[in-house]
Amino acid sequence: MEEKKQKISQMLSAKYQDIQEKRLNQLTREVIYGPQNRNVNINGKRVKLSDLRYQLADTFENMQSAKKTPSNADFNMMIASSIETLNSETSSEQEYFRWLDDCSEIIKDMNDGFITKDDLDSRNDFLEMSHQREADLMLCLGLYAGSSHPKAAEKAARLRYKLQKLREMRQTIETYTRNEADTKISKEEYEKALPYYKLFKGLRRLPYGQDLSAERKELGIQHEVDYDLLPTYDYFAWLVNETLDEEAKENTFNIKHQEISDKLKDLARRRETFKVNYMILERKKAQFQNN
Amino acid sequence: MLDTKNIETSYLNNLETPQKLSCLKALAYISQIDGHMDSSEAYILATLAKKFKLTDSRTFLQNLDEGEILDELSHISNKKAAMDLIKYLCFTAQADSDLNDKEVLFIGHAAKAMNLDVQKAAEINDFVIECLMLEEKAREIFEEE
Repeated sequence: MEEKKQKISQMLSAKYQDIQEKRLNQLTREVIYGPQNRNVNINGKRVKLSDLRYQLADTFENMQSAKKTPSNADFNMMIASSIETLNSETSSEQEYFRWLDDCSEIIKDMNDGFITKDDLDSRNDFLEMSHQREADLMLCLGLYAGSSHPKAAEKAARLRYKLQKLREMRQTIETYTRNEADTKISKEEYEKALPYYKLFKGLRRLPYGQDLSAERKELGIQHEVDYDLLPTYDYFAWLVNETLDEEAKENTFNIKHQEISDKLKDLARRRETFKVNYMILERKKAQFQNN
Repeated sequence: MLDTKNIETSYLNNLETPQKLSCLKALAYISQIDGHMDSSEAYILATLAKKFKLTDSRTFLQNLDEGEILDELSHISNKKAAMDLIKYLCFTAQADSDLNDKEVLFIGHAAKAMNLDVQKAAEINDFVIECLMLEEKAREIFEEE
């Protein structure tokens, strides 16, 4: 199953453990494509799709923030436990501050004169995590955007801020640290990286959501090309389109798989027939000539 | 569909010029056995003729006669080249669909003309099918278009 649908399906499955597989697939599609005011029936209870999306986004963000890289094995367990602790509403922000700590540390270690293998590993782990978390945040933003829950817009704005900062951290690390180990760093490189280190350290001292706009401007950090960070960007339309694209890809793959499978069956049938066919044809030809 | 992968580096390249020409005629014959040869197949054969340094590269495509071709093939005594030719004939005939009666007979007769047993032709044909199956599996594994 496609990635986004699969994540939503896993969340639903953990939340409603008694649900039948067929109904789960149907419900997953309803969560993605259904209009906000639609009511869905889950184990005899009517739930508004808008509220369900809000709940799933909240659950998912809390779950993913709680741990850096959850394995599939404990995925369901984490969803279940995060539903229990939804009200704490702190882990998502804690994760943001952890990113700032990690990012500052990486910029420092990668520019302190010499890059060790461990320094490089930390850098690349962070970059990899940032891509995964970006995909998660986009999914949550899509779910919030598909919800008319009174708190959805506010939550989405907070997540959008987090996504913006994540991209800034990634961009800085990619630009101001080298992707190589056992190498010396020049004073010039250190001096270029220093203001960014100070920026993220500065952000760490501020409350969540409060930015250092003047400093960012001075460093030339802009998001003009990030059209998806604008408040008007329709994340729900994005989620639906992405899922439809994923489904189309999967359908194409299935059709191609079927074609190849048919061809292989046909080829297998053709084996070991040549000699027999040839003998039969030669015999027929001889009979024809004799007559 | 004419299929002549790596033919320039095959044992056919070790043959004398008239024998190379006979091989191309055989390939041309099997590629149009059920009708006409399309322009892309004619182009491939003409290109091959150039690679084999055969002059007047398009004339051999005209007036192809099965009896004459088989007679010319009987002058090929290089067994490895003969087996290679059967392989390319099978690839060409198998590429689109199963061998039809005319193709089976022509490949069998060509094998006999070059002193190859029909059993050998059958083995080569099975090898070609295995190759095609492997290509299909590769398409799936490596997600090729």
